[in-house]
Amino acid sequence: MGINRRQFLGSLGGVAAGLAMGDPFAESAQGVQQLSALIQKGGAGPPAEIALSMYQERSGMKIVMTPVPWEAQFEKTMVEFIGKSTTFDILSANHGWSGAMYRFFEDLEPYVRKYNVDGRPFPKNAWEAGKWKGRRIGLPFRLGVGALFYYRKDLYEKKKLSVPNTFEELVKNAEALTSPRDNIYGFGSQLGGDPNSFLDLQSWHLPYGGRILKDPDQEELAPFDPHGELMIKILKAWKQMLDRGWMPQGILTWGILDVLTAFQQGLIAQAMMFSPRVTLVEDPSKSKVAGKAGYALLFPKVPAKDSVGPRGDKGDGWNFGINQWIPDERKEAAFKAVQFMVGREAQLAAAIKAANGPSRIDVLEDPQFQKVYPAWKPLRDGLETFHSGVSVPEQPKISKVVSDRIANVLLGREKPEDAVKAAWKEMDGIMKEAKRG
Amino acid sequence: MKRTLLRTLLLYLALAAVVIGFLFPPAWMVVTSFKLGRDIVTWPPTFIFKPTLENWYWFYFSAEASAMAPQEGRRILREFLPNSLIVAVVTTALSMAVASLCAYAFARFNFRGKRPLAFAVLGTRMLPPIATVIPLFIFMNSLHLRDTLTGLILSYTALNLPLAIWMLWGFIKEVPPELEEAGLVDGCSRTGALIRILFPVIAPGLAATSVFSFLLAWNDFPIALFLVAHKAKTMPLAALGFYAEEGVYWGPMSVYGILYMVPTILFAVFVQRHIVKGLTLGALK
Repeated sequence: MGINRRQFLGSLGGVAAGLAMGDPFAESAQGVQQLSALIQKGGAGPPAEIALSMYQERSGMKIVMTPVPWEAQFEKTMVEFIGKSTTFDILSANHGWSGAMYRFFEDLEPYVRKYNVDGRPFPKNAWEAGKWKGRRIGLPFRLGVGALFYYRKDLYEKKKLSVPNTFEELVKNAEALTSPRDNIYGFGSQLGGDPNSFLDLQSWHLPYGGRILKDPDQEELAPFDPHGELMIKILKAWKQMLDRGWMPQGILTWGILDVLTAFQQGLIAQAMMFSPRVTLVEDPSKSKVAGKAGYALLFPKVPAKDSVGPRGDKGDGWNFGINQWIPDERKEAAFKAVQFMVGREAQLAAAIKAANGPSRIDVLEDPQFQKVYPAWKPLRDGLETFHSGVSVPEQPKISKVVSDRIANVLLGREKPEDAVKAAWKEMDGIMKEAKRG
Repeated sequence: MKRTLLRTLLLYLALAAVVIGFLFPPAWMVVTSFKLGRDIVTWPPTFIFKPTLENWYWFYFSAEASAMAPQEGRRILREFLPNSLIVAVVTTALSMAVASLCAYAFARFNFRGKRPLAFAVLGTRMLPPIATVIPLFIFMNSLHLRDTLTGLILSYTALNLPLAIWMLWGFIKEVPPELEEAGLVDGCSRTGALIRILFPVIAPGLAATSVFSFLLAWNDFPIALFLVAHKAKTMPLAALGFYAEEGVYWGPMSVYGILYMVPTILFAVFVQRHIVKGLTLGALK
């Protein structure tokens, strides 16, 4: 059985045409009775799933949720926006992404007015963190203190230590808690490079009043003296703890999960982590230190003589907003879903069932929440002094510059003074270039 | 005699070290899949532990994806795995069909602009695939092929073609044109000569090239991440489901890793004989 050239080419053409036109695997576009949400895998995702599922039950609106991990979420969201895709109606943005994404989110201010959304139940700074350059890009769904201080209460009692209020006190505690015989290090931090080291540096910098960019518009670099000088002191403290063996050597490769696992396993006696992780530290199936940990704000009472400005606590959070490329009727439907997500009922359920950091004060003060979340008090205090840190579109560049310099210092390649001065110069260049547009 | 024995012994020791180096990661993955969560992260690592089928059980019997579970295991088996198989197999077939014809044209015909065209084809391979993500996204979005297996197949085929064409061009060049000419003299059409004479001769080359095509489509992560929303998820994307902010779900992830490896191992075993032949074809004249 042979085939001639025409039959052969015809069959190839047929296959190609079938693939292109028939599109056997493609499905039809979504109807308006359905909304689609891009959510995070882990972190803010599971609480969002709970809140959106509740909304689905109440409204009858089908909601398709697509989770993506934190590491890929920024890029995935930006590609959706740049490609003017209408696949997702509801999207979330971390506070640090606001500057990069505000042009693509629908301005929710008209919807807030239309549906009388009350901003008073939310901490003022967090409510404001939903805005960028006059546009409301989202409503606050998840809030937390980026660097809540976690410490081993049992070891603190044994060594008669108290919660540190200064860098020096924290370093002293680290020395006292380090016990090579018991394989315990005094302190652990996510110093594995960009962006983690940058985030932790901001967490130490803000409580002392340190700023990298001037508040509130973040359009200019803060003056080197005192803000850069303060950063030098932080790097010296970190280097000292590393050189003396009060932090594990491998810490220069650590990320978020390493700090959590190390604290859960009892390898480090003090750490700072995002506040919702308290639940994971208190889970006995995952943690050897459940019931043995204490929680506080990082440097809760910085002495006035050491402060260089108003206190800030590095807050972290997620706003949920609406894709500006979708049709108006879908925008309306999506806003109702987002409004429900930040309502008291959904917030309480998400906080209790999925360790969400509630964005509402009335949920933070709810006895049901306080019962399951032992760190509610420092969390409540931290939200009063909530600060999003560097949130401009240039944030990734600044983060890289600072993280690289931190690594240089910790590896002994550069002195803290030289590294911070060089970082300041580079950041100045970045901000000036941004101004020139 | 003693020296030869020593040399052989050293050679075997070196080989054993290399083999252990290669086999240790998958072997550890298999062991991990039978451990409980607490045994997986214990330091120092435990070699003696109470084995469990919990991670495997989770794959078959996990309920709807819940807030605290990484993802539904059954969805991986019922959707992601078949999707990946379809995408990889169709991409390979399509790439081979198109590339073999292109390579044939380059190898057998002289036409104006042949060399620039050949280098232009290769030039597209110089781009890192991630650099093509945004244009591909916009292109597929406008064709309504986003989040479809067809969109993925076409994207991977486009990425596969340069390498496949150049590889096959080399294999076809090694075959004397007189073989096909003899077929033509005997009454065979050009297509007939291609199918009946040339393709069987370059079968090892086709097999080796198909392995590369299959692996690209099977392993691709970045393009799938951006092109897929929720309908056309492939196996590499499933890996993300085990890495959450709260921790890595090592146990189920190991089971997933094993399942992910099986089709590639089977495919490699199936074409192994041809690959070796294909890679050495033309090496000795």
